[in-house]
Amino acid sequence: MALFGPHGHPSRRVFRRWVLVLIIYLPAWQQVNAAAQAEQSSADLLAYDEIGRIHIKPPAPAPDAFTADAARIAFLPALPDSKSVYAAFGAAHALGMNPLTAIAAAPAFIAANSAAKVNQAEISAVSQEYLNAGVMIHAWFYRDWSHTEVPALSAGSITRPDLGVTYSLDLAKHIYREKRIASPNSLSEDTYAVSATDDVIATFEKSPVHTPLGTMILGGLGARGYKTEATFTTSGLIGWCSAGRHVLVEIEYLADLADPQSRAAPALEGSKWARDACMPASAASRREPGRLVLFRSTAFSGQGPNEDFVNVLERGNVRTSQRMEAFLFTVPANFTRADSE
Amino acid sequence: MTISTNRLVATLALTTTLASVGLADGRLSGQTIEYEVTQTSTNKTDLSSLPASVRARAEQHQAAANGKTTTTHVTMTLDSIDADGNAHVNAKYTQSMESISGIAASVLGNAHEFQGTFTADGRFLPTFDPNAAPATDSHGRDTAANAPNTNGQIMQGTFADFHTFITGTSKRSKFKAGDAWHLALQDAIGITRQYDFAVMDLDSSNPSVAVISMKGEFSGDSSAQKVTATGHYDSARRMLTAYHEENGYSSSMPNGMSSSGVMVMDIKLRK
Repeated sequence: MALFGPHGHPSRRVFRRWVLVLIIYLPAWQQVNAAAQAEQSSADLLAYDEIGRIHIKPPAPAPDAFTADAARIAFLPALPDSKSVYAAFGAAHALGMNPLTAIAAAPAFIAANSAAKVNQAEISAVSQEYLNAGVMIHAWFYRDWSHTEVPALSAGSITRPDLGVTYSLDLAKHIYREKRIASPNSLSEDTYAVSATDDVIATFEKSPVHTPLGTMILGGLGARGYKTEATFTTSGLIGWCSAGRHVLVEIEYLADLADPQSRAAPALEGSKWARDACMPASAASRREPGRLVLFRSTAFSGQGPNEDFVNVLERGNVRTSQRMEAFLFTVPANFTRADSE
Repeated sequence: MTISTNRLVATLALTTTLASVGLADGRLSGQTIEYEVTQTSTNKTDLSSLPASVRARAEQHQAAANGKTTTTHVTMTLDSIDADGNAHVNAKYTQSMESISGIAASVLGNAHEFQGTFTADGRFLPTFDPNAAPATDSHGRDTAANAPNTNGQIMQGTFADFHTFITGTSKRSKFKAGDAWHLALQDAIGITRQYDFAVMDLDSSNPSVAVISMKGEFSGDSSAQKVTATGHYDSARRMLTAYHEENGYSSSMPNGMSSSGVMVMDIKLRK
């Protein structure tokens, strides 16, 4: 995909932000929580569309813009083809990594450079459109089963804990890979969680203040909102927050539907809120964990030129059904198996 | 002041001194620790997209580099040890590589100085600022002021899995053959990797040494990596005395470029 650039300006920044968007918002990468499922009616099928994006220049977008934003994604132009340029740079870079082959890297870089400049300009323009528009995800949940699709990546995923398996789908090539998920036996062994951010300290200039925003209708559903404001300094990198001072303003609207990916829990406060805002563990609500977020914008203002942006999560086209559609959680018949892990 | 009082003061002073140099933790200010690192890579990168004028030469160089061993000697001198047993170190490394001679060999063989921390559990954490702007002279070389930062970053990469191995190993206070556990390691932008650990054996000649394995398999849409390592962890000395790793990787980009290979690394405590 042409989001990669040979020298990283600006495509590498674009790519890094896409990676963060995908990490945070791709439901397929998070295990559906059994407790949350128990809270929702066991017969309910829940489905929605989700947009995750980074709004480079604040202010934050309006909470009720899902339909317009979904249409913008649907009409994005095709990305320029950078196959030959990127491959040449990749090969040259590989040569430069080794002292014995480095001497061959310089002419390889020169040969690729002029073509890259033209291609890079095209990529920059279109990549910015993609970044502004965001990533659309289609998601379906039933009990602890999930199915997500990311059309921009031609990728999908079906998770079936009852079968002990996750299927990764290539929607373009109609192939799938099968990966076994943790069995109860392996969970009996100790797992120690360590984060590179464990030692990073957030010092508050202004502790998080939460203000109710009342209710509004989003996509035909009643939603209640909250505004949170905080100012703090982090001693090191935590996700979106580099070391330094940050001013955060977050708007969150929730529906009275159980979030299939998070369990009911107390609201996040203080440094827990700041840490999760900087590096979300999931797309769960920070004010009412366990309830489905319909809209969230987290506006960051930092010290550097690239530190003013808004992370936006929008959900729309929310549907529930008493009828379980088995085909949604089964690999389509026209897909063939690529390999297994 | 009486003799007994003098003895008490002397004893207190000696105790304080011993604590400050780290004797209580088994490590001493001024102590030198040396590791020897050998790395051998076999890489296959698809060079077919290169212009014909340079492709043949590039293929020759790639073939010549494959299988050649790079040896790195890392020397750390402990200069202060805090109450938790973590030691600040002044460190340097020198390198040599098979088939490299002349000026290139002398550049690799120069002492590359940097600083870091040798932690109480035996991790080696070079000090560097990842946000520091590169500073180079008119020949494109690191300035003297910037070199320690660059050297520290290079060693951070070299010792990254070694560091992970000890992070996982140090979660257990005792080792019993057959024990197994997992380490979920999350980086600063939120990507989590899981490593599986197991005690393979206990060293019959040294009961404080356990032979431990670490495995990690990671895959994305276009890349895969498999790390398989074993290490000899001495819980009495709280350090890794030997480490062997095989790191296999492959990537295949949507644009058709592919790369794959295996890197084999051994790290041995020399002093």
